[in-house]
Amino acid sequence: MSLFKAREWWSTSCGQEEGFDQASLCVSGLGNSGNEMSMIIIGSHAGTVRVFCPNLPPASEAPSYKPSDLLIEMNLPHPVLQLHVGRFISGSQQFHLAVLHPRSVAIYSLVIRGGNTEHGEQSALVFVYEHQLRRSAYSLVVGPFGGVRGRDFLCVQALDGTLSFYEQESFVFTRQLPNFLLPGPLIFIPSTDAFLTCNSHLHIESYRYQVLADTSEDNSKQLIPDWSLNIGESALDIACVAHSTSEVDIIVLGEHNLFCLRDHGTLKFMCRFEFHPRCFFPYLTVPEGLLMVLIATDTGTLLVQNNTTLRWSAQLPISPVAISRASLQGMDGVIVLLSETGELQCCYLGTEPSLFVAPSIEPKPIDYQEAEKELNYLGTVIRAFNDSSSVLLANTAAERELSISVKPSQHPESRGESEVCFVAVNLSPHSAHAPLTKVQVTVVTRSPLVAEPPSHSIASLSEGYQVASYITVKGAASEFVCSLEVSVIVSYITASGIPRILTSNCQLPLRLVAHPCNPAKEAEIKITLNTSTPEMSLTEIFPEFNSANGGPNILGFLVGSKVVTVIAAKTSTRYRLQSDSILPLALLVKHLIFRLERILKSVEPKASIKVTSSSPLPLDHLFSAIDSHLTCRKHVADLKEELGQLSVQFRAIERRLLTKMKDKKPAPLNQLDTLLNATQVEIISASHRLEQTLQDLENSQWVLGCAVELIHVLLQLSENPSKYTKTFYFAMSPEVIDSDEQGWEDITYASLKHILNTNKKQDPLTLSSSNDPVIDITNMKKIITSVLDVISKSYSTSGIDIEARKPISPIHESEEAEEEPTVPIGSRLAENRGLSAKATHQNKLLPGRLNASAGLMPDTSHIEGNLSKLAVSSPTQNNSEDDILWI
Amino acid sequence: MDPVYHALSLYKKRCFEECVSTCTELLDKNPFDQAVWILKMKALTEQLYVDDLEAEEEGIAEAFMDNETIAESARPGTSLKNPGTSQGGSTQGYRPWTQTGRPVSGVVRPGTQTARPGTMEQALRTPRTSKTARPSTSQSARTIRLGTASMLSEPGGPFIQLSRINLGNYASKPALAKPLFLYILYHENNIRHALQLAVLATQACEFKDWWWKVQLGKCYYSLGLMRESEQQFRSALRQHQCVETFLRLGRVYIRLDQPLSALDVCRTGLEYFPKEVTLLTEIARIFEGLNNMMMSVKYYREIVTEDSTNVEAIACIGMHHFYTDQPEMALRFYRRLLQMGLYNAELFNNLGLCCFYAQQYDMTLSCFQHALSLAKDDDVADIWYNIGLIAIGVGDTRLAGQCLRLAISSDSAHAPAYNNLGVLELRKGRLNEARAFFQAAASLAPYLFEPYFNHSALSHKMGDLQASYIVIQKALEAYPNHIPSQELLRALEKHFTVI
Repeated sequence: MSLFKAREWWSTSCGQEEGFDQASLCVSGLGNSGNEMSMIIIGSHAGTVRVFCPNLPPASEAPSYKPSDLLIEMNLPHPVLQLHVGRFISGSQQFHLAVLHPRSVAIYSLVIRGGNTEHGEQSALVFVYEHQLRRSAYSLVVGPFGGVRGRDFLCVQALDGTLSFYEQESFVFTRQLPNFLLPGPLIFIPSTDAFLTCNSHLHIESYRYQVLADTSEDNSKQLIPDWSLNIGESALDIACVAHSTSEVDIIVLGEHNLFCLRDHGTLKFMCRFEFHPRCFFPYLTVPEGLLMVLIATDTGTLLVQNNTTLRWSAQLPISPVAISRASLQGMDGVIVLLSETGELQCCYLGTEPSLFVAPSIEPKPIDYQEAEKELNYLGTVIRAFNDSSSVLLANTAAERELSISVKPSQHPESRGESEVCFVAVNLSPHSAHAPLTKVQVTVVTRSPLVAEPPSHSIASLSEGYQVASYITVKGAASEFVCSLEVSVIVSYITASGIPRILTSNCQLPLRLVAHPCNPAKEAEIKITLNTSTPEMSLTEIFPEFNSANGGPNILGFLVGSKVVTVIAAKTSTRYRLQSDSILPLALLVKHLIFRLERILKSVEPKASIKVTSSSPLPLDHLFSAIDSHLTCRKHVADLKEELGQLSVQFRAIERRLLTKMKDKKPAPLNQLDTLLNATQVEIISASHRLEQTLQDLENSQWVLGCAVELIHVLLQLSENPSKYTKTFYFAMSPEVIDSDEQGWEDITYASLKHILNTNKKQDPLTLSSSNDPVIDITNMKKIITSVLDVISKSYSTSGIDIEARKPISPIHESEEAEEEPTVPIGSRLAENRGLSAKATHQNKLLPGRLNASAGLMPDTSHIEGNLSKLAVSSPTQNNSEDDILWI
Repeated sequence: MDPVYHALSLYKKRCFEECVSTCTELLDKNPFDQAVWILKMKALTEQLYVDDLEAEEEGIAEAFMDNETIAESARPGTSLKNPGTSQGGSTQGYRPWTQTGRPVSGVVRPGTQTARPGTMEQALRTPRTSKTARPSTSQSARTIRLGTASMLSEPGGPFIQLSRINLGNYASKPALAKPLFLYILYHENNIRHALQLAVLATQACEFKDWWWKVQLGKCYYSLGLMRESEQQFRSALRQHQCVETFLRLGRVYIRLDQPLSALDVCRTGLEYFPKEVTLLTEIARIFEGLNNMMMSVKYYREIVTEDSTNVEAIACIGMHHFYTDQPEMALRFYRRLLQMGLYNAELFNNLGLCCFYAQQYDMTLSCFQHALSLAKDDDVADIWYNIGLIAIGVGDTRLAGQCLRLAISSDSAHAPAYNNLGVLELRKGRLNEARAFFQAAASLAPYLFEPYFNHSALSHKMGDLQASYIVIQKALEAYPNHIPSQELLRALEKHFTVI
């Protein structure tokens, strides 16, 4: 990541797959030239030594590799591990090349023969002498050991940590390094005449040559380092830079840090890397004498640092394993890079930034008219998507693709204690060529009926297929069943990738929940149905329930533990259902009507029957069901709260215990363990109670469901159905679902309130948005009666006398008046309060009494007044729109 | 060539896989070659090495079972938990805040993502988004990576059976113990074993090796024993000063929620290692966490003079300029990042916004086009949201609505998009829809004050003064110094007293 790029000045590539390493590069002068003019010497693991001397081209030409730049290429029989240049031949001041092979170290000298042809001089490396090694070599160090002048000695570090010293042609001694496991970098520092290495303890250690030489004679003596510094990580490379003859900086490239040490082993500075370094090369600038370090990173960036400050960074063209700095023919400071695969490059730091230019993404120009057309088209598509008509369209298409038939078995089987009904779903796709995928069949029942398994999935459907589910009554609670309807939902993805959903319904047999029994003569609740059908005896209607216990006009059903008696009038087409409990009534009323219709349809397909009922609504039962449901919910909430508190307490004790355990000095537990145990026991008992209460809640949900269902059935059967009946059905759902945050009452309360509000043609703006949880049964009662009144009022317009309804209202007017102040003040506005009080007052007036219109009059005026007030206040509030905050 | 030399050469060239396979061959021939055994261990460790200073995340367990906190309600400006209390910091009005209640940072770091929740219940509830269903757990990223790696290991069982190894044997041999420790810590991620080895080894070297103390501290730190870890780091620092030890000691104090002590430690470190970039970065991050942007940017500037290619510093300075109303300056910083070769959606997004606010409209759209073409699933929602913002800026409400809806379709929990959609609906006069959007935004992001304020203003306008009163209080909870909210509240209170 950098602004600049290292510019390539000269490059070539050496061999193929020869293998190069950090030690394969050596930049130095050979022969007489000394260090004046650098040659680039490269040795590969395949055993080839190459010597390059890049020539500066004439100013007109761009610099590039020319064959004449390669002075020598020589194949040696063994891999070349390392190269060094020094004065290795006694009596000669010339510079020679030392080549380290795994088992030997050889010295070569450069011979240049003059020539008069165009390619000029001819160079060759001539073998001079060789030391055979007893151990596998790792690295080679050269230098004037022991302070000699004009001569360089050799030291070979073997893989097992043995150092072998050679004074030019003669072997001197060997010495084993202490604490050795894996070989690390080894260098020689002339100013202190010491060897420096990083051992496996992650210490940098310095051994004086004198000490090494002395102790070698006496093996019993322990080799003591001159100094040692713990750097805490293994070193990749070490180098030394001499400021003067006395002042030397030792630069250590660690795996994550760069260290600079003084020659007596103290830390001068260090800096931490945010990358993995690969290789480095420290040098001093002339004449300022600043310490600069070139570092190549694994991300292919070259960093030039002065001490810890980054001076330059440039992107490298290759990822190098070795880096060096050369002066080539009067050009100082050329950066020489060698990659693992043998690419050799000489670079310079170009100062012209190579700016990253993001590639352009869309060369295609936009035709704005076309685009606008497309946008408009897509806009219409989006709008059409929200239309409900297209859904219908999709469904009819779905029916063309797949037909479903659902068949419940008519005779429930007995399985253990419970009855089981078998529902078979036949799927027949119309086209065998385009298989439907991810078909899922879900059997939906209303609790306490349970389908097992609840859903089937078919990966791919191309021909007819049947799936089956068993339906049982959960917990054998048959009396709570309020609907025998089962719906089957099939969802699938068509061959063209369009998801579709189909639904199909069926009725389960009554025998699943009911059994014949002795009819009861007297019962608390009675419901009378008037029908327009021809007279039918009950044995015709319920053939499977024929028993000796009743006559043709009286039948008893045992639903769960409750008895329902159905009596047919002898002279008219009226039926009476009676029971002590309201639970099974809804089911039987619905079923009776269903059967009557079925029988009639079988005789006369086009006939329609009209069933009406004028029985009073069992509101008392509904309210008591709501009451018990609310109590259960409150109980559950209390228990949850208790459980929450207990678990908070449990965690607090745990924390205290943890602190005690972590303490250095063991302290007494102060009965914390007992407390922990006790809390756990309490948590468990609370959970058991919660389980029990949840069961109760479920029961109360069923009871409530049955009661609501009955109300709805009776409302539908009322002699003149109101337009609100359906709305009311959706507002007060017989499916009782309680979530954590919202119970059935909350939802119902909100929906009923909405009905009331919209019914009053009130300004929708004044709707209170508060959804406070319903805590009180009285509110619930009041709102249900109000809505029922609205419904019944809508009868009154059609002129039907509903005076009969009056006694069913369980709340007397006086009571209601008292309750008025309990309208939740917090959720209503001050101005609205009077309004809502009026509204309740109006609702309280029973329909049919004409003074209702008198009540309406002040009401409207009030609304108008309210509206004008809003209008007046609106200009001041318009300002706030400007303050609306965008994020 | 000697195969051991070959393996070493591969290790130096960072070809760890080849190195491991070469070592495995060598060990098959001679299973008792300690040097090769160690080399293989080192190669396996390096293969999986993650700079654990940079990949650190605080999970629920650490945050909640934290019994080291000194003060529950810290004094202003001394805790990272409530950065809003510091003096002179930027406010929410200028610089948006993240979920955690910290100002948005210039770069995404592990620590900037997770919350420091007040209670367990809050912790379990808040961080769920459409992307993750579970709250972030402790040590997440690193542990997952290491866990899978050690399972992959190799055929024929793991390299080292930790349960069978006699740690006492190795503890006295530092040459073996150090690589073994790193292997256990980084490759196996078995902190308890590593701790055991470190305890034995530091006893064996008679408490003279600072390296073992740092490692002990690292183990204690990951086990959540902060005080023990602090002790070890301090003891190590007495023996030898090292950048990493300073950083780790600073992290201990951050975990203990004592940012001022952490700053002290880093400053002491700077005395030993002047201008050390990592220490400066740490200081700048702490100041950012404390919501002291001026100091943070000062340190980031110091970093840039020391290391002018530091992406984090450039991005943070750019961000600071952007939110202090100098988009042109911010643009220069972000452009530098682009020139340096950073090429991702976030950068183009920021460039686009800077261009827009610097009135270089011609560049804005092409920047966003780039951003969209580079965007990944995580950030495409934010880019659409910003395009929506541009569309609002140029008055194209139709485009704005579509962009915001696209933002929501790719991230259904994008609260700011909901808020702005609400404002759009409000402009169209659909008040109920607007209110629903504001409510959705507020429930998704209770830390934003805008949805609350808008909701309150709308309720006020609709005459629902009670709701307005309740909601405006929430807005002031999220941003106590918001003047329009305060005014609205005052107006409401006045209204109520009149009634």
